[in-house]
Amino acid sequence: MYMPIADAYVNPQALLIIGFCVGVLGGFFGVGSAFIVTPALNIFGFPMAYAIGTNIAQVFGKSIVGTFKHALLEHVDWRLGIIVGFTGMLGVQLGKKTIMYLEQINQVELVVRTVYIVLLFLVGSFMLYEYLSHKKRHLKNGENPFAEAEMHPLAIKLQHLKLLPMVSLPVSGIKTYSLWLVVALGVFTGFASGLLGVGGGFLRLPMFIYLMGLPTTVAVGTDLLCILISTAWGSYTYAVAGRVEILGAIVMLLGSGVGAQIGSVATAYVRSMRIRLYFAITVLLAGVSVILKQLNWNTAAGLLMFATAWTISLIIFLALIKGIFLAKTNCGRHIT
Amino acid sequence: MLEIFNEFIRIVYNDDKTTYGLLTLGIMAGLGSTISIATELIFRILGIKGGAH
Repeated sequence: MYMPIADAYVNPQALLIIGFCVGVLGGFFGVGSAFIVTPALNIFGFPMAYAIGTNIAQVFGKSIVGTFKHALLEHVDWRLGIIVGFTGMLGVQLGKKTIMYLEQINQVELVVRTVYIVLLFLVGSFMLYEYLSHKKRHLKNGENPFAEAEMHPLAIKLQHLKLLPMVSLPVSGIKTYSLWLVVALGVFTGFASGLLGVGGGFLRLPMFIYLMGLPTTVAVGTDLLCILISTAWGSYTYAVAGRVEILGAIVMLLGSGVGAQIGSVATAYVRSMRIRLYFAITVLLAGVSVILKQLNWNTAAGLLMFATAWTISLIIFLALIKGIFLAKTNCGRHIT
Repeated sequence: MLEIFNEFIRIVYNDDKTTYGLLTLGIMAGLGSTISIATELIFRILGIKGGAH
């Protein structure tokens, strides 16, 4: 299929498949999956500059699908999402300025890759550790190890911090939380997005859970709303700069939109701790992929990310089927 | 059909970048909303509503 803006030929079936996989992951985890799509688009024939812009445009469309479904499931905290989404845009500008400075001193590649690897491993290993200790505790007490974990002590401490003005977030089950902390969270994740050139969902989701105390499913839905806000602006600016290939984005969105709906609905059938476990594994493997890229093993890095996306989305799809089957047969609790 | 669409995109892109930016947003938002509603309808017909918690 010919792409008129990028002046390149791209395989539409490949776009549909990769779109579907990242759509499932996006709807299930509340992430944009730029760490998977951008290198994949580049491998499939898009020049890198067009790959980034085209991906942002399809993530915008995909996050509409995911936010819509999560809103129907009452998983979206609109107040929190709007505050974090818009303050995140300020953070993105700060991140971009930092990138320009790093370019001047010729350190951009090294700093960005190092920060990215550290953050991915930090987030992935922390969430995996949390999951394993939760599982150990619950198995000891004879409870289901996949049930929603109790609120993290750090989130409880931060909820009690009286740094005025306070904001109430009833959808998330938070009576009061410092507005300054919410703004700081938005600016920090936006800064990381601007610095690393990704959506920042892999940071926002654990922060919502462990620093604010949001239930996992509400964290996923609210994160998608933040992505929707930031990618709306990103799509426009990249398109004006001539870096979005509409036809490619449309083909990808056909796959990722359907995938996002499947991923979003799966969160209603899969226990919260499973979501956290799959997320931790995906983030850790993304970290390994970035290390491989750093070693110039680009094909291995791309294949690892593609295989991860394919396998995790298949697991989510099977968990959804199992959940639906249990729902039909038990007519009661049907969470797997 | 695809050639006509590509030609249209090329004309809009070369004519005015702002219009191209708005067109991108409009198409993505429209297609995203359509997929949302269509897939939601299909899921409901199949009896898959979610909301188990």
